[in-house]
Amino acid sequence: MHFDASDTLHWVECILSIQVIISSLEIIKIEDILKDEGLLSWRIHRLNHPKVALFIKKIRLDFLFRFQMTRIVIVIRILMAFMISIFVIINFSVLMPLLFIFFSTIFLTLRNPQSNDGSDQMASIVIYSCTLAECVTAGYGKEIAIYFIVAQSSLAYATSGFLKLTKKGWQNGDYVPEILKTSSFGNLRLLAYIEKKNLLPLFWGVVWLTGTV
Amino acid sequence: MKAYDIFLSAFFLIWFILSVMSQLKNKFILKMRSFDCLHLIPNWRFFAPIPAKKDYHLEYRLKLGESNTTRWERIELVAQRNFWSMFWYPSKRLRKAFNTSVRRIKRRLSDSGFDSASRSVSYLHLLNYLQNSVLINNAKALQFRIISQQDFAKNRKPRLVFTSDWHIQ
Repeated sequence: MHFDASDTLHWVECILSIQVIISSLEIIKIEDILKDEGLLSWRIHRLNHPKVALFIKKIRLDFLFRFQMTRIVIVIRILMAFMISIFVIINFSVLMPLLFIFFSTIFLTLRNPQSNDGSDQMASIVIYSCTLAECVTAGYGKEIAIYFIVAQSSLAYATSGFLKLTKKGWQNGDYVPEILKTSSFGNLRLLAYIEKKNLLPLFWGVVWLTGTV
Repeated sequence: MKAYDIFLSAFFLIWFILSVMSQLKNKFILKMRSFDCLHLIPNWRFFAPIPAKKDYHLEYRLKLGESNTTRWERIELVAQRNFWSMFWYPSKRLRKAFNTSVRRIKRRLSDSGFDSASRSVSYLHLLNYLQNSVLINNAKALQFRIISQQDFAKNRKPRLVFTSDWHIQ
């Protein structure tokens, strides 16, 4: 299949910039948890990887992980994500803002990984791949990066779908109402509706869809 | 093909092979993942194979005197979801951070016992948060516990997951 690698990569980067803006704004909205007294205190979290924390201190970057600096990094990250979209539109190289997002992603992964979910992990993989691809000017490296992103996306949904197929609770539809009963992922109205009607074929559809996409 | 292209191809190929092996719960990869502080090796699950079917809640009580303890108070960490939550729900990160701490405490508890769990970083996260967010004017000590239940179930049946030691203020 033929496609223009540069154009495709630019589309991916535009979608990526939206994800970066939303996820960064989410962290800003609940920024209190990043404070020393919050749930994601760096003072405590650095004990998870003492060697990494020691290395960060040794190279004198520990100040970056404090609350105020983390906030500044996130704000600049949002600006850089906007710049990516603008640069794509005016056909200017996105390498500079992408590099900042690349390093800030590494920083945020070290700083507060507990609050990240699967979508953040997928975004990180796309950020690393796009940055590596943008470092080459020729199309071939970009093509490889796109194939890699496609392969990772397929792997993500295929794994999830196939693992669901192995469990009886997914096959007979038991798990869906159980998930809906939680306030973390559920919805009271949807739960009431599902408990009234038999939606087993729909659940199977979800399993097959995630397994075959 | 330039040298950089060959390097890039090899790099992406190795990364993808490691990602596939990670889904198969390969022992070598599982060990490698404990060093993967940049989260480069993914573990794609998305509610599979067994989805999360419980809500976790954080509760605390204070010791005011020798035999005077307050009732258990629940900390409402996260706002309830509404229609707009599918587009904008920052609290999900707060919930994820809390749930991750709970999962790690539970794992340590079952693998190595209470002492190990109460020395874990996740335990310290919860304790640090409570000691700084709860009004403890006259309190001599603080204790917390983790409760699991299905918030929207008709029969909620709260279950005790973990109770901490008393911590002197």
